[in-house]
Amino acid sequence: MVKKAIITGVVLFALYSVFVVKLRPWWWRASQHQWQDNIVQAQYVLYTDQPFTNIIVGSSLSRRIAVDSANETYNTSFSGLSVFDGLNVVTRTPHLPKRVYIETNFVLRDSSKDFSGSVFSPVLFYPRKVLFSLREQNQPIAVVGTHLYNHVQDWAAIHLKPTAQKSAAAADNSKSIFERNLAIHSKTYAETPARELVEERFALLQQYVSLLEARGTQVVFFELPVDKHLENLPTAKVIRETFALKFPADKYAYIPMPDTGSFETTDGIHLNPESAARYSAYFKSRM
Amino acid sequence: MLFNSFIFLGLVLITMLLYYIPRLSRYQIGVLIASSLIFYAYNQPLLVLLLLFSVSINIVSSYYVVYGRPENRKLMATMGVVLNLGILVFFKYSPLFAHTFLSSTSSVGEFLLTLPLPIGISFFTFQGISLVIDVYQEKYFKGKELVPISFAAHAQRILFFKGFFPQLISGPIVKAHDFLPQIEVKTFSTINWDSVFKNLVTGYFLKMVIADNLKDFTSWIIFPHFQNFSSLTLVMMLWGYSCQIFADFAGYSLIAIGLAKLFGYDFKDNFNFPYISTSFKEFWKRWHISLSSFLMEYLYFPLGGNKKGKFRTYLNLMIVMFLGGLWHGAAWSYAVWGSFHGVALAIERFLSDKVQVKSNVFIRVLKGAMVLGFVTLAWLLFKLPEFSHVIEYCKSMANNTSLKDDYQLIIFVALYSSAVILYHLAYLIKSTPVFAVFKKVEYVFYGILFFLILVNSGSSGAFIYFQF
Repeated sequence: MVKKAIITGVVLFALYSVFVVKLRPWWWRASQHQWQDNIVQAQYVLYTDQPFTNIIVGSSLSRRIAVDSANETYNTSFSGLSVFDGLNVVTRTPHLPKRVYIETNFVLRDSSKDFSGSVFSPVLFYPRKVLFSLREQNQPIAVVGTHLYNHVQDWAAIHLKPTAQKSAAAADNSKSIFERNLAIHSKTYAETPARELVEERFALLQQYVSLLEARGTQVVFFELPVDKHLENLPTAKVIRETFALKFPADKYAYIPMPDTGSFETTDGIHLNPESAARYSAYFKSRM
Repeated sequence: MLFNSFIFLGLVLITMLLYYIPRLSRYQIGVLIASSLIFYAYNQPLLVLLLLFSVSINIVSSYYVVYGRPENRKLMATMGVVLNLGILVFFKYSPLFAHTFLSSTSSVGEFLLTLPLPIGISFFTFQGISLVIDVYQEKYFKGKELVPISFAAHAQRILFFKGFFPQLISGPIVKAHDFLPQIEVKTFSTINWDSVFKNLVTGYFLKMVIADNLKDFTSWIIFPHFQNFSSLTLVMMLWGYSCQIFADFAGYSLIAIGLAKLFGYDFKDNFNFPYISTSFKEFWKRWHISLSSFLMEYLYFPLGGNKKGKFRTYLNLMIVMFLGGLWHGAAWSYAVWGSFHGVALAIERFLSDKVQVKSNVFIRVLKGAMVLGFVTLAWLLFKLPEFSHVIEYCKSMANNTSLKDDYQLIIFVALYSSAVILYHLAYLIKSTPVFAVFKKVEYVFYGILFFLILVNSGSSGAFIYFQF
């Protein structure tokens, strides 16, 4: 039984490996949640042979920046993670880009050991490089689920049109969610970050920036607009002031922050789709 | 060290190699003890000392129960149990005590709050208690049969019994009377490979493919994030957690059983398809069997069980479940969780005495759905240690009907949890002719599970029961 089961498993794996390289349809890509999306993006950047001109690193805030699908620019902003996770990936790519755009908003957030452990697993890193079937984007259950989800979403958009009453209730709920989240973010932003933490994070950032510059990559910083109630609270101010001190504008390139008042967010920090589209256009114009 | 890490795989392979070298057969226990200590020390090296201290209490108390003065047997046994419980209470419940009764600014409160929680302490403490009580009661064996006269040999056996790595940190809670008689020289040729393979593949599949994937959806059950989801999404998330906790813990137990078999030791089943239960009593005979049988044998029966009248029976059930709940974690929500189950068991017993319902398929399905619904709802107390957050979650489930459903989450939870449903359905058809057909090609199913472990494992997460 054991031999037969192992042979069955190995044969299935071999067939699947051939399928994902030679026969997979265009929609064969897993995207079951943001963690998986982060890993898929990281593996794409790490294992691709094609060089990128520009790479954006950041948190979920920058994830909403829409970029050209061509290899000109690639957005490796990881939702729920920090810029250091992105920088860790970018600095290990086979070809460094010409420019790296670094989001400044959540620079105090620590990198994730789980993420780097998963992406840079010493045992799986090279097998994944060689065997496409082992990469996150080819997980069969996740691919089937993603495909099913896309169909259900399309079906729901046509057949499940909300009533006026439901739409009004949903709008009320969105408003209360926005207010609740804004209150939470206000509380966090109102705290002055510890000096040691700020020093530690900026020292690490300086190491990454020096490494990139030494290898001929230009670094450009940018701050995404957040709700106007948050933009001048202590956390945002300390980060801005420390950037001005450690990475002065006369030595480093910045994309200036546009007028925050004209942008709207869903929860205080993440731009809504319309504002994200506007910011993306602005971002592209400044690249 | 996680069962699903490559470093663990390396440890097991090296241990097996040394364990089965014929020339080293007399050192087999020593090899397993050394591996177990490395396994335990990997994350918390200093706390190995606590494990050794706990083991030494059991070595001394059990030895002197058997070979000490007969008039001191009870005293030694009592001391053994009290000291075991003392260590557990001090390390596990001091922070709860400090939170509840002391100011966090007081020096004592501050000290108690910073105490580390040694991993697996609840499990190895209960194993120690089972040893002391078993040698004292001599219900299953004569003390001298299993406690050698050589103190050093006894110490080695007890260190092995409590420290054996497959069950060290998350069970199953192996009882002394089940384990000690198995200690002898093992040979490679006696390994039951079919059983090892089935346990390991099913266990790793449940953990790595089901639980680890579900965890990324159920991680939203955290205050205040869950308030942003629709009612249906919240219900599915909770159902996902119910399947996750089953897949996680049953998976762990199967891996532990498979690993123990690799070294020639048999552990009893820890899960027996609990979600098909049609009563709470049945649920507790199928869920975490090693804990429920421990509580039954070493707590419920000594309290009088059902022999002291109806009121005492209900009270005993409540006490056992309250303490069983608190055993899981140092937070009052666990005690409430246990008490919920205690109340359910008591009410069920009361109703079964008063009302006789004819059993048919419809009634059984209805009862099964009720039990599963209650059990699933009660898992909220596991996921959200703050009781106020549990209330908020229930409120959100009731109120968020107008929010947009998260189809992505709903679909993926349904997909991954369907494996848990199929697993239970396979058990239900076990006695039908259909199953015989499947049985002939069971290697195909195990082959598919093996393939999915390779290509569809979720991000590695700690086992939920590690925290207990």
